[in-house]
Amino acid sequence: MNTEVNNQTVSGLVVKGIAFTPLPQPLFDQLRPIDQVMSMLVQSIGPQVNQLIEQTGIPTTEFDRHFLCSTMIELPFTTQSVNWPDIAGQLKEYGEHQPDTFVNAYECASWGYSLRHYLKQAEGQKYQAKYMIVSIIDANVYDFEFWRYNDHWQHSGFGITTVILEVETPLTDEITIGSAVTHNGVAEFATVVRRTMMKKPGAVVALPFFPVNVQMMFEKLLRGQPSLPDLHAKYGHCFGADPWLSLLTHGLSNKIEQPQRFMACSVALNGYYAIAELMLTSDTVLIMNKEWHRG
Amino acid sequence: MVKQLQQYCGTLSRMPFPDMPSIAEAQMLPLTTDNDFSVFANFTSSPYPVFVNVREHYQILSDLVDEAQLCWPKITIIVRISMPGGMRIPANLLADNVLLLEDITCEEQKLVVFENSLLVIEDYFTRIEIDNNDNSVRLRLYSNDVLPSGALQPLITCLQKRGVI
Repeated sequence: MNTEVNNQTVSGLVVKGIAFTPLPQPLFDQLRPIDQVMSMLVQSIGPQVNQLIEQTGIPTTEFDRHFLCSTMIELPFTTQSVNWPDIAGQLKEYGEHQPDTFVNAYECASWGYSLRHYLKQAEGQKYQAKYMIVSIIDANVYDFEFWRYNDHWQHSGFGITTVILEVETPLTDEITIGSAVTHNGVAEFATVVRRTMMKKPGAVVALPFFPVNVQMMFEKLLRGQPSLPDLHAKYGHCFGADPWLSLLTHGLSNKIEQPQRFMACSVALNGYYAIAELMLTSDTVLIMNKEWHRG
Repeated sequence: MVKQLQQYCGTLSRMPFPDMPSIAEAQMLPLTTDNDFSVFANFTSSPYPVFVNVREHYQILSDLVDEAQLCWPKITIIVRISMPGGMRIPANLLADNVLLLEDITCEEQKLVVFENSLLVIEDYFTRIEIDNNDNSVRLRLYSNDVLPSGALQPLITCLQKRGVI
Protein backbone atom coordinates (compact mmCIF):
# COMPACT_ATOMS: atom_id res chain seq x y z
CA MET A 1 0.00 0.00 0.00
CA ASN A 2 1.49 3.33 -1.06
CA THR A 3 0.78 5.86 1.67
CA GLU A 4 3.72 8.19 1.14
CA VAL A 5 2.99 11.89 1.05
CA ASN A 6 4.03 14.79 -1.12
CA ASN A 7 4.00 18.50 -0.38
CA GLN A 8 0.39 18.90 -1.48
CA THR A 9 -0.88 16.26 0.91
CA VAL A 10 1.03 16.97 4.06
CA SER A 11 -0.77 17.05 7.42
CA GLY A 12 0.27 19.47 10.16
CA LEU A 13 -0.42 16.83 12.79
CA VAL A 14 2.38 14.32 13.37
CA VAL A 15 2.31 11.23 15.57
CA LYS A 16 5.52 11.27 17.60
CA GLY A 17 4.79 8.06 19.42
CA ILE A 18 2.25 5.36 20.22
CA ALA A 19 2.50 2.82 23.03
CA PHE A 20 0.02 0.11 23.93
CA THR A 21 -0.19 -2.32 26.82
CA PRO A 22 -2.88 -5.00 26.48
CA LEU A 23 -4.85 -5.71 29.66
CA PRO A 24 -5.91 -9.30 30.43
CA GLN A 25 -9.50 -10.43 30.65
CA PRO A 26 -10.36 -10.92 33.44
CA LEU A 27 -8.14 -8.28 34.95
CA PHE A 28 -7.68 -10.34 38.15
CA ASP A 29 -8.44 -13.87 39.29
CA GLN A 30 -10.61 -12.36 41.99
CA LEU A 31 -12.21 -8.95 42.07
CA ARG A 32 -10.26 -6.44 44.17
CA PRO A 33 -11.37 -3.19 45.84
CA ILE A 34 -11.82 -0.53 43.20
CA ASP A 35 -9.40 1.98 44.75
CA GLN A 36 -6.66 -0.70 44.67
CA VAL A 37 -7.50 -1.55 41.05
CA MET A 38 -7.31 2.07 39.97
CA SER A 39 -3.99 2.54 41.80
CA MET A 40 -2.57 -0.53 40.07
CA LEU A 41 -3.63 0.85 36.70
CA VAL A 42 -1.96 4.16 37.56
CA GLN A 43 1.22 2.16 38.15
CA SER A 44 0.98 0.99 34.56
CA ILE A 45 -0.04 4.27 32.91
CA GLY A 46 2.73 6.36 34.55
CA PRO A 47 5.69 4.22 33.47
CA GLN A 48 4.26 3.67 29.97
CA VAL A 49 3.95 7.42 29.45
CA ASN A 50 7.52 7.95 30.67
CA GLN A 51 8.83 5.11 28.52
CA LEU A 52 7.26 6.61 25.39
CA ILE A 53 8.37 10.16 26.13
CA GLU A 54 11.91 9.03 26.82
CA GLN A 55 12.13 7.22 23.49
CA THR A 56 10.81 10.23 21.55
CA GLY A 57 13.50 12.38 23.17
CA ILE A 58 11.05 15.24 23.74
CA PRO A 59 11.78 17.07 27.03
CA THR A 60 8.92 16.53 29.48
CA THR A 61 8.57 20.29 29.92
CA GLU A 62 7.48 20.61 26.26
CA PHE A 63 4.05 19.04 26.72
CA ASP A 64 1.20 21.52 26.97
CA ARG A 65 -1.54 19.06 27.89
CA HIS A 66 -2.13 15.41 28.71
CA PHE A 67 -5.66 14.01 28.82
CA LEU A 68 -6.68 10.57 30.06
CA CYS A 69 -9.63 9.27 28.06
CA SER A 70 -11.88 6.28 28.47
CA THR A 71 -15.11 4.85 27.18
CA MET A 72 -16.02 2.34 29.82
CA ILE A 73 -14.33 3.50 33.04
CA GLU A 74 -17.23 5.49 34.32
CA LEU A 75 -19.02 3.64 37.14
CA PRO A 76 -16.17 4.00 39.68
CA PHE A 77 -16.49 7.78 39.27
CA THR A 78 -20.28 7.93 38.84
CA THR A 79 -20.78 5.99 42.06
CA GLN A 80 -18.09 8.19 43.68
CA SER A 81 -16.20 5.05 44.71
CA VAL A 82 -13.03 6.83 43.54
CA ASN A 83 -12.45 10.44 42.64
CA TRP A 84 -10.37 11.89 39.86
CA PRO A 85 -8.21 14.34 41.87
CA ASP A 86 -6.92 11.36 43.92
CA ILE A 87 -6.06 9.43 40.76
CA ALA A 88 -4.45 12.51 39.20
CA GLY A 89 -2.41 12.97 42.38
CA GLN A 90 -1.12 9.40 42.14
CA LEU A 91 -0.24 9.93 38.48
CA LYS A 92 1.64 13.10 39.33
CA GLU A 93 4.15 10.99 41.26
CA TYR A 94 5.39 9.94 37.80
CA GLY A 95 5.87 13.54 36.70
CA GLU A 96 4.07 16.79 36.01
CA HIS A 97 3.47 15.72 32.39
CA GLN A 98 1.14 12.88 33.45
CA PRO A 99 -2.59 13.20 32.65
CA ASP A 100 -4.39 15.73 34.81
CA THR A 101 -7.81 15.73 33.19
CA PHE A 102 -10.08 12.73 32.66
CA VAL A 103 -12.43 12.79 29.67
CA ASN A 104 -15.00 10.06 29.05
CA ALA A 105 -18.21 11.91 28.13
CA TYR A 106 -17.57 11.44 24.42
CA GLU A 107 -16.87 7.73 24.88
CA CYS A 108 -14.65 6.34 22.09
CA ALA A 109 -14.31 9.79 20.51
CA SER A 110 -13.01 11.38 23.75
CA TRP A 111 -9.45 11.65 22.39
CA GLY A 112 -10.70 13.83 19.51
CA TYR A 113 -12.77 16.11 21.71
CA SER A 114 -9.73 16.48 24.02
CA LEU A 115 -7.55 17.40 21.06
CA ARG A 116 -10.13 19.96 19.94
CA HIS A 117 -10.22 21.43 23.45
CA TYR A 118 -6.42 21.73 23.51
CA LEU A 119 -6.32 23.43 20.10
CA LYS A 120 -9.11 25.78 21.15
CA GLN A 121 -7.25 26.74 24.33
CA ALA A 122 -4.08 27.45 22.38
CA GLU A 123 -6.01 29.58 19.91
CA GLY A 124 -7.77 31.51 22.70
CA GLN A 125 -4.55 32.11 24.59
CA LYS A 126 -2.75 32.98 21.37
CA TYR A 127 0.08 30.49 21.52
CA GLN A 128 1.12 27.97 18.90
CA ALA A 129 -0.03 24.52 19.95
CA LYS A 130 2.84 22.05 19.92
CA TYR A 131 2.88 18.80 21.88
CA MET A 132 -0.06 17.04 23.41
CA ILE A 133 -0.45 13.59 24.92
CA VAL A 134 -3.57 11.50 25.06
CA SER A 135 -3.68 8.31 27.06
CA ILE A 136 -6.66 6.00 26.69
CA ILE A 137 -7.55 3.41 29.27
CA ASP A 138 -10.25 0.82 29.02
CA ALA A 139 -10.23 -1.88 31.67
CA ASN A 140 -13.06 -4.09 32.88
CA VAL A 141 -12.46 -3.08 36.49
CA TYR A 142 -15.65 -4.71 37.83
CA ASP A 143 -15.50 -7.66 35.42
CA PHE A 144 -19.00 -6.95 34.10
CA GLU A 145 -20.11 -9.50 31.51
CA PHE A 146 -21.63 -6.86 29.20
CA TRP A 147 -18.24 -5.19 28.85
CA ARG A 148 -16.67 -8.50 27.82
CA TYR A 149 -19.18 -9.18 25.08
CA ASN A 150 -22.33 -7.51 23.84
CA ASP A 151 -24.48 -7.35 20.74
CA HIS A 152 -23.22 -3.92 19.67
CA TRP A 153 -19.60 -4.87 19.01
CA GLN A 154 -19.30 -8.45 20.30
CA HIS A 155 -15.93 -9.04 22.02
CA SER A 156 -14.22 -6.12 23.74
CA GLY A 157 -10.48 -5.62 24.02
CA PHE A 158 -8.83 -3.80 26.90
CA GLY A 159 -5.62 -1.88 27.20
CA ILE A 160 -3.69 1.27 27.96
CA THR A 161 -2.73 3.45 25.02
CA THR A 162 -0.52 6.52 24.99
CA VAL A 163 -0.26 8.77 21.95
CA ILE A 164 2.05 11.76 21.58
CA LEU A 165 0.98 14.27 18.94
CA GLU A 166 2.86 17.22 17.56
CA VAL A 167 1.20 20.14 15.86
CA GLU A 168 4.03 20.73 13.41
CA THR A 169 2.36 23.51 11.43
CA PRO A 170 -0.89 25.38 12.20
CA LEU A 171 -3.82 23.07 11.50
CA THR A 172 -6.48 23.93 8.95
CA ASP A 173 -8.96 21.11 8.44
CA GLU A 174 -7.10 18.14 9.87
CA ILE A 175 -9.57 17.56 12.69
CA THR A 176 -13.23 16.65 12.19
CA ILE A 177 -15.23 16.43 15.40
CA GLY A 178 -18.97 15.95 15.49
CA SER A 179 -21.93 13.87 16.40
CA ALA A 180 -24.42 11.84 14.41
CA VAL A 181 -27.92 13.23 14.11
CA THR A 182 -29.61 10.01 13.03
CA HIS A 183 -30.40 6.92 15.06
CA ASN A 184 -27.86 4.86 13.10
CA GLY A 185 -24.71 6.63 14.31
CA VAL A 186 -22.17 4.15 12.97
CA ALA A 187 -23.54 4.23 9.40
CA GLU A 188 -23.75 8.02 9.52
CA PHE A 189 -20.16 8.12 10.77
CA ALA A 190 -19.09 6.02 7.75
CA THR A 191 -20.61 8.61 5.42
CA VAL A 192 -18.77 11.39 7.27
CA VAL A 193 -15.51 9.45 6.91
CA ARG A 194 -16.17 9.06 3.19
CA ARG A 195 -16.92 12.77 2.75
CA THR A 196 -13.81 13.70 4.72
CA MET A 197 -11.64 11.31 2.72
CA MET A 198 -12.84 12.78 -0.55
CA LYS A 199 -11.22 16.05 0.57
CA LYS A 200 -8.08 14.15 1.57
CA PRO A 201 -7.10 11.98 -1.37
CA GLY A 202 -4.38 9.51 -0.63
CA ALA A 203 -4.88 9.27 3.13
CA VAL A 204 -5.34 5.76 4.47
CA VAL A 205 -8.14 5.33 6.95
CA ALA A 206 -7.67 3.67 10.35
CA LEU A 207 -11.16 2.70 11.46
CA PRO A 208 -12.51 1.37 14.75
CA PHE A 209 -12.62 -2.42 15.06
CA PHE A 210 -16.04 -3.97 14.61
CA PRO A 211 -17.53 -7.41 13.84
CA VAL A 212 -17.77 -8.57 10.22
CA ASN A 213 -21.28 -7.20 9.60
CA VAL A 214 -20.18 -3.65 10.48
CA GLN A 215 -16.92 -4.10 8.58
CA MET A 216 -19.00 -4.96 5.50
CA MET A 217 -21.05 -1.82 5.96
CA PHE A 218 -17.87 0.28 6.15
CA GLU A 219 -16.57 -1.44 3.03
CA LYS A 220 -19.73 -0.68 1.09
CA LEU A 221 -20.09 2.92 2.27
CA LEU A 222 -16.41 3.80 1.90
CA ARG A 223 -16.43 2.46 -1.66
CA GLY A 224 -12.93 1.12 -1.76
CA GLN A 225 -11.12 3.96 0.01
CA PRO A 226 -7.76 2.65 1.22
CA SER A 227 -7.93 1.46 4.82
CA LEU A 228 -5.83 -0.44 7.33
CA PRO A 229 -7.03 -3.95 8.21
CA ASP A 230 -9.75 -4.35 10.83
CA LEU A 231 -8.22 -6.08 13.85
CA HIS A 232 -11.43 -7.04 15.62
CA ALA A 233 -10.72 -10.75 15.23
CA LYS A 234 -7.37 -10.33 16.97
CA TYR A 235 -8.08 -7.71 19.65
CA GLY A 236 -11.86 -7.30 19.86
CA HIS A 237 -13.31 -3.78 19.92
CA CYS A 238 -10.80 -1.70 21.91
CA PHE A 239 -12.94 1.45 22.13
CA GLY A 240 -11.04 4.72 21.47
CA ALA A 241 -7.76 2.85 21.16
CA ASP A 242 -8.70 1.13 17.88
CA PRO A 243 -7.27 3.58 15.32
CA TRP A 244 -4.06 3.98 17.35
CA LEU A 245 -3.66 0.24 17.69
CA SER A 246 -4.21 0.01 13.96
CA LEU A 247 -1.49 2.60 13.26
CA LEU A 248 0.84 0.95 15.77
CA THR A 249 0.39 -2.47 14.17
CA HIS A 250 0.91 -1.02 10.69
CA GLY A 251 4.02 0.86 11.75
CA LEU A 252 5.56 -2.16 13.43
CA SER A 253 5.03 -4.44 10.46
CA ASN A 254 5.99 -1.93 7.74
CA LYS A 255 9.20 0.02 7.98
CA ILE A 256 8.24 3.67 7.65
CA GLU A 257 10.96 5.40 5.67
CA GLN A 258 8.94 8.30 4.25
CA PRO A 259 6.09 10.13 6.02
CA GLN A 260 2.77 8.34 5.58
CA ARG A 261 -0.62 10.01 5.91
CA PHE A 262 -3.59 8.48 7.71
CA MET A 263 -7.02 9.30 9.05
CA ALA A 264 -7.51 8.07 12.60
CA CYS A 265 -11.24 7.57 13.13
CA SER A 266 -13.34 6.76 16.18
CA VAL A 267 -17.08 6.63 16.73
CA ALA A 268 -19.01 6.26 19.97
CA LEU A 269 -22.10 4.16 20.49
CA ASN A 270 -24.03 7.40 21.05
CA GLY A 271 -22.81 8.81 17.74
CA TYR A 272 -19.98 11.19 18.70
CA TYR A 273 -17.09 10.89 16.28
CA ALA A 274 -13.51 12.07 15.84
CA ILE A 275 -11.44 12.02 12.66
CA ALA A 276 -7.85 13.25 12.60
CA GLU A 277 -5.65 13.46 9.55
CA LEU A 278 -2.09 12.83 10.68
CA MET A 279 1.25 11.45 9.69
CA LEU A 280 3.53 8.69 10.82
CA THR A 281 7.18 9.36 10.08
CA SER A 282 10.42 7.43 10.32
CA ASP A 283 10.87 9.07 13.76
CA THR A 284 7.54 7.90 15.17
CA VAL A 285 8.24 5.75 18.22
CA LEU A 286 6.12 2.60 18.28
CA ILE A 287 5.93 0.42 21.38
CA MET A 288 3.84 -2.70 21.79
CA ASN A 289 4.29 -3.79 25.40
CA LYS A 290 3.65 -7.26 26.76
CA GLU A 291 0.30 -7.93 28.35
CA TRP A 292 -0.05 -6.34 31.78
CA HIS A 293 0.93 -8.70 34.56
CA ARG A 294 -1.71 -8.94 37.28
CA GLY A 295 0.85 -8.62 40.05
CA MET B 1 -5.18 41.34 37.09
CA VAL B 2 -7.16 39.70 39.87
CA LYS B 3 -9.69 37.25 38.49
CA GLN B 4 -13.27 38.20 39.35
CA LEU B 5 -15.49 35.41 40.63
CA GLN B 6 -19.23 35.15 41.04
CA GLN B 7 -20.75 31.94 42.30
CA TYR B 8 -24.03 30.30 43.13
CA CYS B 9 -25.02 27.20 45.02
CA GLY B 10 -28.51 25.72 45.06
CA THR B 11 -30.42 22.50 45.56
CA LEU B 12 -32.94 20.80 43.32
CA SER B 13 -36.05 20.54 45.46
CA ARG B 14 -38.66 19.00 43.17
CA MET B 15 -39.23 17.43 39.77
CA PRO B 16 -37.99 20.02 37.26
CA PHE B 17 -40.68 19.50 34.61
CA PRO B 18 -43.74 18.64 36.73
CA ASP B 19 -46.39 19.17 34.05
CA MET B 20 -44.58 17.43 31.26
CA PRO B 21 -45.01 13.74 30.49
CA SER B 22 -41.72 11.93 30.63
CA ILE B 23 -40.71 8.88 28.58
CA ALA B 24 -39.96 5.86 30.76
CA GLU B 25 -36.64 5.20 29.11
CA ALA B 26 -34.32 4.57 32.05
CA GLN B 27 -32.35 1.39 31.52
CA MET B 28 -30.96 -0.99 34.09
CA LEU B 29 -27.40 -2.17 33.55
CA PRO B 30 -27.59 -5.48 31.67
CA LEU B 31 -26.59 -7.69 34.61
CA THR B 32 -26.34 -11.41 33.89
CA THR B 33 -23.68 -13.18 35.96
CA ASP B 34 -23.47 -13.69 39.73
CA ASN B 35 -20.52 -11.29 39.76
CA ASP B 36 -22.53 -8.61 37.92
CA PHE B 37 -25.32 -8.73 40.51
CA SER B 38 -22.89 -8.91 43.41
CA VAL B 39 -20.92 -5.84 42.24
CA PHE B 40 -24.08 -3.86 41.61
CA ALA B 41 -25.58 -4.77 44.97
CA ASN B 42 -22.45 -3.53 46.72
CA PHE B 43 -22.68 0.02 45.38
CA THR B 44 -23.83 2.39 48.10
CA SER B 45 -27.08 4.29 47.60
CA SER B 46 -27.78 7.97 47.99
CA PRO B 47 -30.41 8.91 50.60
CA TYR B 48 -31.45 11.88 48.44
CA PRO B 49 -34.62 11.72 46.30
CA VAL B 50 -34.41 11.12 42.55
CA PHE B 51 -36.20 14.05 40.87
CA VAL B 52 -34.65 13.92 37.43
CA ASN B 53 -33.91 11.42 34.66
CA VAL B 54 -31.04 11.59 32.18
CA ARG B 55 -33.05 13.34 29.46
CA GLU B 56 -34.32 15.99 31.87
CA HIS B 57 -30.85 16.45 33.32
CA TYR B 58 -29.42 17.07 29.84
CA GLN B 59 -32.28 19.48 29.17
CA ILE B 60 -31.36 21.56 32.24
CA LEU B 61 -27.66 21.58 31.28
CA SER B 62 -28.58 22.42 27.72
CA ASP B 63 -30.70 25.39 28.82
CA LEU B 64 -27.87 26.66 31.06
CA VAL B 65 -25.32 26.40 28.25
CA ASP B 66 -27.67 28.14 25.78
CA GLU B 67 -28.16 30.97 28.27
CA ALA B 68 -24.40 31.22 28.90
CA GLN B 69 -23.66 31.35 25.16
CA LEU B 70 -26.05 34.27 24.87
CA CYS B 71 -24.65 36.11 27.89
CA TRP B 72 -20.95 35.54 27.20
CA PRO B 73 -20.37 34.43 23.58
CA LYS B 74 -17.30 32.20 23.19
CA ILE B 75 -16.73 31.85 26.93
CA THR B 76 -15.06 28.57 27.89
CA ILE B 77 -17.54 26.36 29.73
CA ILE B 78 -16.77 23.21 31.68
CA VAL B 79 -19.62 20.99 32.78
CA ARG B 80 -19.65 18.07 35.19
CA ILE B 81 -21.44 15.21 33.52
CA SER B 82 -21.13 11.83 35.16
CA MET B 83 -22.68 8.61 33.81
CA PRO B 84 -22.40 10.03 30.30
CA GLY B 85 -23.50 6.91 28.41
CA GLY B 86 -27.18 7.13 29.30
CA MET B 87 -28.28 8.67 26.01
CA ARG B 88 -26.92 10.93 23.27
CA ILE B 89 -25.81 14.29 24.65
CA PRO B 90 -27.63 17.26 23.03
CA ALA B 91 -25.68 18.95 20.23
CA ASN B 92 -25.32 22.32 21.98
CA LEU B 93 -23.42 20.64 24.82
CA LEU B 94 -20.95 19.36 22.21
CA ALA B 95 -19.99 22.90 21.09
CA ASP B 96 -16.28 23.59 20.77
CA ASN B 97 -16.14 25.98 23.74
CA VAL B 98 -17.72 23.41 26.05
CA LEU B 99 -15.87 20.53 27.72
CA LEU B 100 -17.80 17.81 29.54
CA LEU B 101 -16.02 16.07 32.39
CA GLU B 102 -16.68 13.46 35.08
CA ASP B 103 -14.83 15.71 37.50
CA ILE B 104 -14.13 19.35 36.82
CA THR B 105 -11.65 19.98 39.66
CA CYS B 106 -8.31 19.72 37.85
CA GLU B 107 -9.47 21.35 34.62
CA GLU B 108 -10.97 24.26 36.53
CA GLN B 109 -7.71 24.79 38.44
CA LYS B 110 -5.82 24.84 35.17
CA LEU B 111 -8.17 26.97 33.08
CA VAL B 112 -8.82 29.59 35.71
CA VAL B 113 -5.18 30.61 35.44
CA PHE B 114 -5.14 31.00 31.67
CA GLU B 115 -8.65 31.80 30.49
CA ASN B 116 -9.99 35.34 30.32
CA SER B 117 -13.39 34.04 31.32
CA LEU B 118 -14.60 30.66 32.44
CA LEU B 119 -17.97 29.25 33.48
CA VAL B 120 -18.16 26.11 35.59
CA ILE B 121 -21.43 24.18 35.84
CA GLU B 122 -21.18 21.52 38.51
CA ASP B 123 -24.31 19.65 39.46
CA TYR B 124 -24.85 16.63 41.64
CA PHE B 125 -28.46 15.90 40.72
CA THR B 126 -29.40 12.39 41.74
CA ARG B 127 -30.52 10.41 38.69
CA ILE B 128 -30.02 6.91 40.02
CA GLU B 129 -29.53 5.99 43.65
CA ILE B 130 -26.03 4.62 43.14
CA ASP B 131 -24.67 7.94 41.88
CA ASN B 132 -24.51 9.10 45.54
CA ASN B 133 -25.36 12.66 44.56
CA ASP B 134 -27.09 15.18 46.84
CA ASN B 135 -29.12 17.24 44.32
CA SER B 136 -26.86 20.27 44.72
CA VAL B 137 -25.73 22.51 41.87
CA ARG B 138 -22.96 25.08 41.74
CA LEU B 139 -22.13 27.75 39.19
CA ARG B 140 -18.86 29.68 39.11
CA LEU B 141 -18.12 32.49 36.71
CA TYR B 142 -14.55 33.74 36.48
CA SER B 143 -13.50 36.77 34.50
CA ASN B 144 -10.50 39.01 34.08
CA ASP B 145 -12.93 41.88 33.49
CA VAL B 146 -15.04 43.41 36.21
CA LEU B 147 -18.32 41.49 36.40
CA PRO B 148 -21.55 43.45 36.85
CA SER B 149 -23.39 42.49 40.00
CA GLY B 150 -25.82 39.65 39.35
CA ALA B 151 -23.97 38.50 36.25
CA LEU B 152 -25.04 34.91 36.92
CA GLN B 153 -28.70 35.81 37.41
CA PRO B 154 -29.94 34.62 33.96
CA LEU B 155 -28.56 31.15 34.74
CA ILE B 156 -29.86 31.22 38.30
CA THR B 157 -33.33 32.11 36.99
CA CYS B 158 -33.06 29.20 34.59
CA LEU B 159 -32.33 26.86 37.52
CA GLN B 160 -35.03 28.37 39.73
CA LYS B 161 -37.64 27.72 37.02
CA ARG B 162 -36.68 24.06 37.31
CA GLY B 163 -37.10 23.86 41.06
CA VAL B 164 -33.63 24.77 42.29
CA ILE B 165 -33.75 26.77 45.51
